[in-house]
Amino acid sequence: MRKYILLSVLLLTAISCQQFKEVGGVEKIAQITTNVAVTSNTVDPNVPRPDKYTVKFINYDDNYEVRKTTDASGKVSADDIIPGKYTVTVSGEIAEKGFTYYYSGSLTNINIIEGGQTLNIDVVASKAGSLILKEIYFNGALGYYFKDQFYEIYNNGDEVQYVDKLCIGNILPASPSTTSYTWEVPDGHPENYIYFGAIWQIPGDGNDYPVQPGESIIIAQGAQNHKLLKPTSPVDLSGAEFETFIVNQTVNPDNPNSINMDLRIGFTVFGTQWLVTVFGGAYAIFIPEGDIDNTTWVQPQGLSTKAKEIPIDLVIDAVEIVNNSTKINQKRMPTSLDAGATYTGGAYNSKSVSRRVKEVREDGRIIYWDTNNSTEDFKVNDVAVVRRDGVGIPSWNTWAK
Amino acid sequence: MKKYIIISIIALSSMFNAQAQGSKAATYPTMIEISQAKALWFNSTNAAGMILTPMTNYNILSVGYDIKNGEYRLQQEGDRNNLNINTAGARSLGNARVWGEFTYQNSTIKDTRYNTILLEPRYDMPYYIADPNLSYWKRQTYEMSVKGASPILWDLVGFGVSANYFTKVGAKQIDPRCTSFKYGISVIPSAVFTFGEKHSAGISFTYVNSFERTSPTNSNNQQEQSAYLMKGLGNYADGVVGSLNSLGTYYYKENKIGAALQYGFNGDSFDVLAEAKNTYQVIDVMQSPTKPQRMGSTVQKITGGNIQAIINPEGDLTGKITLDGYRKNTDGIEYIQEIDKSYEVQQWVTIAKYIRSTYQFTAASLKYDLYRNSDAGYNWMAGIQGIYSNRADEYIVPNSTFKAENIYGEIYGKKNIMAGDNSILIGINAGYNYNLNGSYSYNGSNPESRVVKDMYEKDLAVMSANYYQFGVNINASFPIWKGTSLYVAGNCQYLRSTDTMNQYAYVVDKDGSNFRWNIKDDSSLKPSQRVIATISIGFTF
Repeated sequence: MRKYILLSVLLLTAISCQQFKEVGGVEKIAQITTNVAVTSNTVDPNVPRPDKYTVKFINYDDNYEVRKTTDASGKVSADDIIPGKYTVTVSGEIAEKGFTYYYSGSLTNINIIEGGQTLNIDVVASKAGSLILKEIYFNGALGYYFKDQFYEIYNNGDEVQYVDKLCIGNILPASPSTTSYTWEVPDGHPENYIYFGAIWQIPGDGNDYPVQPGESIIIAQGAQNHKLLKPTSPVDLSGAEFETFIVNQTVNPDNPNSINMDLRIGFTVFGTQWLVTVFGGAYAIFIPEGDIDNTTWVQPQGLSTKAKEIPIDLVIDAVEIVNNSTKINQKRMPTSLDAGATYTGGAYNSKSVSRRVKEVREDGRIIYWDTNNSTEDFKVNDVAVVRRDGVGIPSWNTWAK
Repeated sequence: MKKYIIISIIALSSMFNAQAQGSKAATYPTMIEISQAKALWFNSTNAAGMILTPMTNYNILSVGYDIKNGEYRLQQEGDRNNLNINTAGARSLGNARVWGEFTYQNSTIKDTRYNTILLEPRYDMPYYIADPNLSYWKRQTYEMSVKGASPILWDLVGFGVSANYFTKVGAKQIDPRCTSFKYGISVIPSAVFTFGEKHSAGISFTYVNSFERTSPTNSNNQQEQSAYLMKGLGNYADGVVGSLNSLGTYYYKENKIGAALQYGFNGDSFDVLAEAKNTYQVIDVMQSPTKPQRMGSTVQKITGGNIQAIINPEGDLTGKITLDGYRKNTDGIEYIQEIDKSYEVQQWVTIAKYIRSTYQFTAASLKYDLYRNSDAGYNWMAGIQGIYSNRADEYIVPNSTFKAENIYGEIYGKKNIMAGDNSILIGINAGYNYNLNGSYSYNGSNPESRVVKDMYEKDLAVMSANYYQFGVNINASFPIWKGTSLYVAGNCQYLRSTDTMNQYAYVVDKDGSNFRWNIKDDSSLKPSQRVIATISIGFTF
């Protein structure tokens, strides 16, 4: 017995010592200085550059943000940084010859621990005027109802856009998670792709479905009047232009008016509907070069999960949605496509996310924010609304009320 | 667990009962009270010293019920109903001394906020989950303590040990809810050295280990619940209970070590015992045992001491002076962690750690009691005490501070009325708290949050309010059989904040739901109050 008592005492002492050792020498926190140098090496030399950039240091763990403006050389120093994990975003814009050029770049989940370090951020430029994901309703309604999910794609530019062959999908992991994938791709550069679990494609020959500036299309999981099917649902999607229809069932009927999209990749599509997690997916739209080969796929190291790799260069717009602010550090979308993330903070509450209005033109057309940073561009709505802000309906949609 | 309760009660009661059978003199509560007051070493951390100032042999078994109601409370405190069962006793075992106690408490705590998981929330444990929903808790506590002291060996040294074991279980009853378990042990070995008749010195070492595990969950799984991952002084991160990404199981690992030195003097007309003590404690807070993530740590150092003096212990009038003081410094450590995404690893790795917050608490008290001794313990007693406390907390960056400095004075007295062999002890007390300083400055990112506005600012108002308190207590003891007495006791305390004396007066409107600052001359508001009432019945033998 004495032997066991002695062993117990020694074991407890050893545990205590280890615990005490781990907190020994910990110092009080102090603010540090961090430098940022912004470059635009990959942007065409003929494209105009902004005079200055806005640099934001965002520490999601502490809900702490520092905002600075660079000098003309693209450099800035911040002396009030709390050591921690940061997402650093750079944004700038310049208007010239009728076009607005948006510059953006970021570093995500970097540890700023030591003072005096310099972060080099290379920005890319995009010209406003392409299709954007305007509103996403993924949350579902009270009573575990999620058949009313929809995606609104808006023409934010000045020219007509054809959505023929446009693809939409969600990438993997399906939910924000501390588990991440190390993708194995043939060219050995996994950073050049995003990895879809599902891809749906709009049919058409290239000029069947024009979307004028200020108009939007609705892609519904099921193009039904969900207010009738489920009283808690906030939306009537019977006027949706497209639906992700799989098979005609009593519970998932086909809307003969709404155009059925083609399921190109369905690794994460199960049953009779395209359900993306109500806790927040990461979505992208793109137009592929030719047909999508669904006979090939990639897998993460050591896992049997399948995904279709799509080059980042093809992506038109992307949005990262997470559960809540504590999950932003687990975002999946590359920062070059979306430097931030948006969230509603809950599920089955009829909430949606939509872009904030940047300006209203003289003709009444709305221009939405599109800086490739969902944290900045999006807002949370208490109730999802189809074609919020009264945006236009394509003329070929004769069934929308 | 119930069988352990029953076994413990029977064991402790029967252990001492055999000794009590031989005595025909009744044991009154006043006898136990004054015996404990004179047992200077018993009131120190050194159990070995019990042999030098032994208590009278006694046993007690009681059942009690107490309530604490009223708006004058911290937000996490709530209103309480407790059922208490207690048994304790002290006696000689040959030339050695032993003492033991077992306590069971069943509590219902109503109208609490901002504590989702902790059985015993306290200001110097800043890392926990909170929610704003008005809720209530059910809680049970089982606690056992023993002390033992050997005889003095070779006229030089005696050895002793005190030990404590507790188990606590509780559950929050409103979403987000939790089930929490906590257990702990403490062992304090000690030695006392005697140098002649008058001088003695002691040394004791403390080891404490405890563990708390708590899992947040929802009953209504259609409704996620927002929660705060608290970090101290109103700083927090957002969290959610429910859904796939719900907050995980929290667990708290505590280890504590300490040491104390004592010096005792046994004079002709007075006895003195001085003690200096120091403890060092670390609590690690983790989330998700299968993929542990550090949520914070606290490092606490307590340095303090006390002096007890008994004047004229054997005379008709006995006085006791107690001077006590300590300083508690707690550092709150936060970790910067990231997931190691390596294949087959997937674990949280600490990148850096910093002291982000500090919690200082200083307290000092001086107390003088005067007893008129009698065969039944004492005929009457009177006392006066003053308590100074100063809390100074800081969140370093962004800088926030919380301060509350108070001084409390109280007078009290008891009269033991003997009616035949029956004893009726009647006591009264009155005290006043004067706030010297109180402030809360928040400079974090959520200045309009409920944590800041509804929790911290209200708690500040409570902790920095002037208030008066008075009470009455009565204990009627009836000898029933061969040294065994039945007693019935009651105690009622009334506390009321004063809204005219201090800018931080804590006042509520008539329905008790709202809160105002700096209110003067507003008839629609009333000062908040608190009532504490206890009733118990038991046996002494």
